[in-house]
Amino acid sequence: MYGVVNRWDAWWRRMLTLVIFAALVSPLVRNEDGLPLSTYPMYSGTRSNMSSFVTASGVDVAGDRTTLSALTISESRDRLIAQSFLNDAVRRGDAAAICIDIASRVERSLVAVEIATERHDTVARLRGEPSLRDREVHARCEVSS
Amino acid sequence: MTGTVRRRRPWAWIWVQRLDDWLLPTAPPERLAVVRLAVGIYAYVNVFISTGEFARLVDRPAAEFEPVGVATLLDAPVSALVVWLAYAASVVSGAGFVAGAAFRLSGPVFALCNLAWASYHASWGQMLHFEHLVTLHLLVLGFSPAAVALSVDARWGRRSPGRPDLSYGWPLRVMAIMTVVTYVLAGVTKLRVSGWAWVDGTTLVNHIGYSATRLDLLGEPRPPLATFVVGQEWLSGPMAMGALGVELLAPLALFGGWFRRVWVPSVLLFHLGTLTTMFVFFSFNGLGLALLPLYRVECLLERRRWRGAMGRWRSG
Repeated sequence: MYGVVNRWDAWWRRMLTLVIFAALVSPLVRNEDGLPLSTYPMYSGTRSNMSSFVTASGVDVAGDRTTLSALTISESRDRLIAQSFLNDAVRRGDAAAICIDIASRVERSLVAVEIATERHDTVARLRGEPSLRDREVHARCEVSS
Repeated sequence: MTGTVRRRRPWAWIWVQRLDDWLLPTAPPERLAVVRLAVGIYAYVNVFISTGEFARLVDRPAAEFEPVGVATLLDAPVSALVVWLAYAASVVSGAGFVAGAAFRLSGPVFALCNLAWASYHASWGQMLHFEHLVTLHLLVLGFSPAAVALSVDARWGRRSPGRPDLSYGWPLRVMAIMTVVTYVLAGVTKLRVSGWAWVDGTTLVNHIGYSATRLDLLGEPRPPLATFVVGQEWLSGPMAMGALGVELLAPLALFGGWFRRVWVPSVLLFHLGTLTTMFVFFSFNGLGLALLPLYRVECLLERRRWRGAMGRWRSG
């Protein structure tokens, strides 16, 4: 199929294909998620209908809680980034610091911001049933007027 | 009785030879160029969409930096100047990549800028798996002769017009392998992490519930089909099996024919499903760009095909 000139060309392409294929599947062997080589673990784990979420809520004068947007929470419209911003801060013990940070961005009609971990029955929530099972507040800070 | 005795080759050798012929196909330069244009435009638009992300990462505290990919070469976050220089390099080299101008330089530079940015972007606690495949495809395209046709280089005569050749066909084959392997890896990881429990659909329903609740708690609207799917218990098992089937059987699409005709719509439906039930959309895959290396896309350039299609559309 290949002439004498192209034989070397074909061989290095075969070898390089093997190397690329080995690199692509190597994260499975190493069981390690990276970039650009990955095991693509998103949504792979078993998940219960009970899940905990770190939340940032605004509290108004009447004491009612409202949700805050991803942009207000993390200055990014990406909800995944907003969620990891909250998760990482609570994991590091920085809930109080990000509470003040977020409070500087909320509407002035709110009086406080709360960073909390809420446990929800997520399937019940989609079926229109009450879902909140547990709530632990990590930090509460006032909104400066 | 005289005659030549023909030695029959073992069947294994014949299959190896067929595999070899498949792995090393020839293709016209236009096929690779069309894929360069499609992938390049997608990645280039992404650079501009990500401008806000560049600005956001400039101000992030160093304590949040958890490097992945090529960012592991760094001990600490880079300065704002370096981030914006990388952005400028992406803008300039991306224009060259799409236009096919000075491609020997702009191709590799844009591919490496994309790799560096994707790694740096993922180094702040959130690995976004949307960026992996386009990064890999750009690396193949950037280091291949993808600007021999449909490019400024071709117009200015920096590259001679080429005939069908291995050097245009093989990169596309590698990109096609990359695409299907990512699906297989995702499927194998599901089975490895959750076993067959993933297949009965309960896990899928819980994932949909989790995604919708997370959006609720961020004050965002729920995915349009999340409530419907969670309400239809019979649907979850077939959906989970279908998703796993699409992932694990992906390699058969490499061989074309009827399986590719079934698999490609299935995979697009799969991405539409994740979008409408979880608001998770792998746009590079879901828009079909990752699937282009599976096709003879240069036929899109044939005017008579467009004329025929337009004529059929007009005549109803």
